[in-house]
Amino acid sequence: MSGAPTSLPTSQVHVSVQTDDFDLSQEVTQLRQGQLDVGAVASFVGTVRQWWPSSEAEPQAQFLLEHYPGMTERVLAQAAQDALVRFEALGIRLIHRVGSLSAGDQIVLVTVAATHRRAAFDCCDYLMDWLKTQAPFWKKEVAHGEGRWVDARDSDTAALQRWTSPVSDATKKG
Amino acid sequence: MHVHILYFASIREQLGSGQRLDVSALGQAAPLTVGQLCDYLRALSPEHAQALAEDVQVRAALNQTICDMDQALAVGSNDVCEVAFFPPVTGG
Repeated sequence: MSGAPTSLPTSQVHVSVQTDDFDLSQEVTQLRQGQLDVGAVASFVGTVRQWWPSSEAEPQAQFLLEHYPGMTERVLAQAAQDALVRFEALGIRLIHRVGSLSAGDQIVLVTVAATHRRAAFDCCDYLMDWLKTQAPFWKKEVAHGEGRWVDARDSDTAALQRWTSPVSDATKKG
Repeated sequence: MHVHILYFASIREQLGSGQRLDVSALGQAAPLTVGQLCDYLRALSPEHAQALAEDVQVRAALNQTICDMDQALAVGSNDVCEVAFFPPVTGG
């Protein structure tokens, strides 16, 4: 579940579904290791927003993330590999946490290395849109003793549809 | 054919993590598609009917690949397949 030992050469795509937190700086270092043709790194970190009124204290609050063991890891690896090819990126690291989290915690990381910035930005943006609507994860918010499964949003589905047209030349040059 | 059924998120909370079903033993009533399997499960109990209700917008995966409800189940009688039912995903 954790990352590969740093002494080994890193592969172009690294995917992890884990309960542990992650460190952006370490992940970017791993991503760039030994890749001197990298000219751009774009990263996205998603964090858990407080889901109850900020004026209220709620020491019992819980944020739960469920996944489909086996399938989740496999589809993430496939999506990252496909995105690497599509955007001509040089490397991708994708981490998604599961289990019990708290408001303010880091939940997801996508970091992409590419030759030029446009490919790095677009690949990162695309992977987050894909992840929001296609990856088997489910969020539950608990506060004041009541749990609520987070609803899927139509705006997330619309965001993914932006990418159905062929990649423009701008993406490749950047 | 045996189907290993898995439930996730709100559906799992109501029905447990899953169940095993010997589809061959159902004879004429045996579901041929993922959607027919969902219908069969809905008819098992009021809890199943509620957990898998239309307004839950139930999604499915066959052998760990997202599929439509009209996806055919495996053909051979000795096959084992895995079918998961879950609400729309909310990761990221």
